[in-house]
Amino acid sequence: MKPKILIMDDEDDIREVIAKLLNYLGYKAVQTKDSYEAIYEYTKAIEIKEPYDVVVLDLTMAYGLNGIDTLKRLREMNPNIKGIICTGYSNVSDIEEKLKEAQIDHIIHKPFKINELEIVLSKVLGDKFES
Amino acid sequence: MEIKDPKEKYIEAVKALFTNFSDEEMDKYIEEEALMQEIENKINQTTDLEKIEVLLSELGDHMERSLFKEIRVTLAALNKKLADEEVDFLLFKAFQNKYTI
Repeated sequence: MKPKILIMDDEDDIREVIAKLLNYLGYKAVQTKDSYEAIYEYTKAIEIKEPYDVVVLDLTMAYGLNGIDTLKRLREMNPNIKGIICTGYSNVSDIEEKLKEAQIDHIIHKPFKINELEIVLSKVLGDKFES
Repeated sequence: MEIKDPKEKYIEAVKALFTNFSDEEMDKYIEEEALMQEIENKINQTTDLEKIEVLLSELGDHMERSLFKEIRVTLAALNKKLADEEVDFLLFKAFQNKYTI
């Protein structure tokens, strides 16, 4: 079974390219443009018993909840959720406390190469999907 | 009435859009645009995936921020003559080798 990845990013191009490349790499990636869509999509997946394996959330969003607060909401539904935060901030020490509190599995800094995201996903997923 | 040649009119239009550009920056912008156009034309003249892969990479040497849009526009044009999976392959190779997200 393909690992299911939920992507949240408010930049259309970035979101679409990540989803397209992850699908190419054999994941099942679904894109959402804001926290409302992300929470709705995640809830729907749980209801149909096809939960996401990892969520990849952009830290800074134009509207709605940011990546950290979205992850907190998703954790209320599934405490074991795996969460990766993408950020363009070079200095994350300003928000270190918030990141710890949200128990983020990994932070990936923009700009990143698709190979870097693939390595992070493999680490976060562990041996769950190794053949 | 003075009749301006198309290049002059184009330069004026670009200047109006980017009023904070210096003359030097403007010259560089126009030169880069021309090079990108030339590469895009070459891409559109072939269906050889290896050639396209190299040209897509070259395209990145002349672009700064709007990488996604440029690549997508180029690949959308290619989509007309390549299979979806070939376009996906090219997109993957471009981002694996050169471009960042």
